[in-house]
Amino acid sequence: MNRIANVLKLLIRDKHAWMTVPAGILGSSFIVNLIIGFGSGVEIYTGGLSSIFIYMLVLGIIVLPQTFPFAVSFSIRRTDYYIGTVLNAILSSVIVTLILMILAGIEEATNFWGVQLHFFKLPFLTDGNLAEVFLTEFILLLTMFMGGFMIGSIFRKFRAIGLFITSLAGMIVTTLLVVLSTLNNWWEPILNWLKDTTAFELSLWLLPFVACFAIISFLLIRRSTV
Amino acid sequence: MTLIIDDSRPIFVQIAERIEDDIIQGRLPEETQVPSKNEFASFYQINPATAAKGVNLLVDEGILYKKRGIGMFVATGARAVLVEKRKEQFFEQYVVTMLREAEKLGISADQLSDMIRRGDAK
Amino acid sequence: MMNNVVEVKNLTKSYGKVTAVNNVTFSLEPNKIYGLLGRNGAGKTTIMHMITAQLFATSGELKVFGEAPYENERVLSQVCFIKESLKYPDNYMVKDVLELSASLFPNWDKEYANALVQDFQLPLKRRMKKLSRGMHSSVGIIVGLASRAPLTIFDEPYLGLDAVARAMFYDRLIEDYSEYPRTIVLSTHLIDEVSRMLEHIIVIDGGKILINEDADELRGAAYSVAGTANAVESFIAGKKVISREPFGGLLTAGVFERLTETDRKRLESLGLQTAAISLQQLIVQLTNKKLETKGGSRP
Repeated sequence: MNRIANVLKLLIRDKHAWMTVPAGILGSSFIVNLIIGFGSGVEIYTGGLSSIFIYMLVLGIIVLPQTFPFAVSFSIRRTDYYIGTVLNAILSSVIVTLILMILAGIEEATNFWGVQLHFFKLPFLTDGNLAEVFLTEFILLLTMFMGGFMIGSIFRKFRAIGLFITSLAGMIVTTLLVVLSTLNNWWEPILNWLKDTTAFELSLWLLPFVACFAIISFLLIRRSTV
Repeated sequence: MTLIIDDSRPIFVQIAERIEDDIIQGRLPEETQVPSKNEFASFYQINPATAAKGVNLLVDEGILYKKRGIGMFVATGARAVLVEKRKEQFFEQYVVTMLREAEKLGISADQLSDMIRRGDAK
Repeated sequence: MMNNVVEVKNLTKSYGKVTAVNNVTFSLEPNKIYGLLGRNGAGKTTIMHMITAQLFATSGELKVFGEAPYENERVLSQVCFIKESLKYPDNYMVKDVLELSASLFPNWDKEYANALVQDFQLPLKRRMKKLSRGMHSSVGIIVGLASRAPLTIFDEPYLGLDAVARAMFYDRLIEDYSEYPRTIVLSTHLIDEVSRMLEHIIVIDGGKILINEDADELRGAAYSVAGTANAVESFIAGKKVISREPFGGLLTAGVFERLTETDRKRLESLGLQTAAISLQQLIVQLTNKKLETKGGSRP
């Protein structure tokens, strides 16, 4: 436990990456939208919230080059590094989700910030009871991070070539699925299903992806060199 | 006393020689304590193990001895032993060489003695 | 010896067709200062990376403290590897590095670290990114020294350090090593400066071990001969010649043997001059040219 605590310490020391920058990004997106809200006087549903999710993706990608060589050079085991980083991501996702939910609460209480700005409380995404909202946003944040982490670990082990091949493979699979769907007229049932599924249920479908990302990253990191 | 360590000879030998020098010149009287290996290491920026090796060389020759828990000391009679040793080395290093050189130049042993007296008078 | 700190047997590392480390065998005993010397690209850094499980060997056996180091907490917690130009996380300050080191290294001495920070005049609150090269190296040196790790490896730790700071490093190193003996490996090309501190020297050249000797054994193990080319050639015939420097009709040759009395007399009779070869010169000459065994052959 001590070893993993050390990894957590290692990561958290970089307060900027984990606290100030995401706060800044989300904050500035919010303020911009607030100003627009003031100015326009119309009811606005904005997608500015996506900034924090994109940031988690980016964070996942950069955490490896930033901290992996350093950690391994300082005699930290790869396994401990992995567990510590994932644990840190989980904890961060929890904290961020809680903050988002609190802000959503404030948004409702202040009658959408007095300017009819829907930033934190959005239909579909934040529908459902508290537990469902929490899990939806938490899982989404974690998926973004782990996705980025996996991308980072592919790059670490296989360099640009690896990323290229992976993206190519991804594109081929996606194209195949689209073609198959079109040929077999799967679109209608797919769209119907999506219509009837809540954000919470969709987020549960992300869980197997998170697991995949996690396993792949672990296997790659275990055999990465510095 | 500045010691320039000669990189082309084993260092522990040079440490031993310095200690011998100090004893002969009276800087290290008999029954006084010799600096510790750590002190040598620190002063000359050498490895303490090397310093210890040099000290042990002299312990083996009976020049130094160890007082348990305190350190290394100069043995009684060490100076006399060393002076004898140095005299023999002096003979080999200087006298034999001098004689060889003198022979090359055709200087006889008597002329050599005169030269020595002349040098001494200065 | 069963409790060698490092045991390397037939260690090889290849990258495709390139063999960086070629069937290397050696061991490191506890509580000695080792010099791991050799030219850039000779394979020293690769070997050190394998010892610390940062690189994986292609073949061969590697044991640190009796066990394989990969993902091994027992081993890794006793190793401190300070490499040149270690990349710290972007937003790290000097004090972040030191505080983290304190929790990572079980033998960390906080007071000693603080004293060293004073000695090297390091600004605790400055970003590692913003430090000059010399200060960057100083941080590494402080971590290496204060960690008191049973196996401490310094890979060219003085990038950017001026002569004064380097002298201070050697000073502190000897001081701390005297009080807290441990196994220290210094890998460097600045042989002259550190040679006095080394007990044992390993020279790597082209991925292979060229020399693996007690340092004192190597001092005085070679001498140079100078004089007219003919006289020198006749003297060095049949000896281990490691260098040849012609100059007009004169020749200076390096011989990798101890100067015996007989040879000394022969030198004098031939009218040749001789001088001892320092450790640095010896290693330079050995790594510049492969060992010649027949003194009489001309290139």
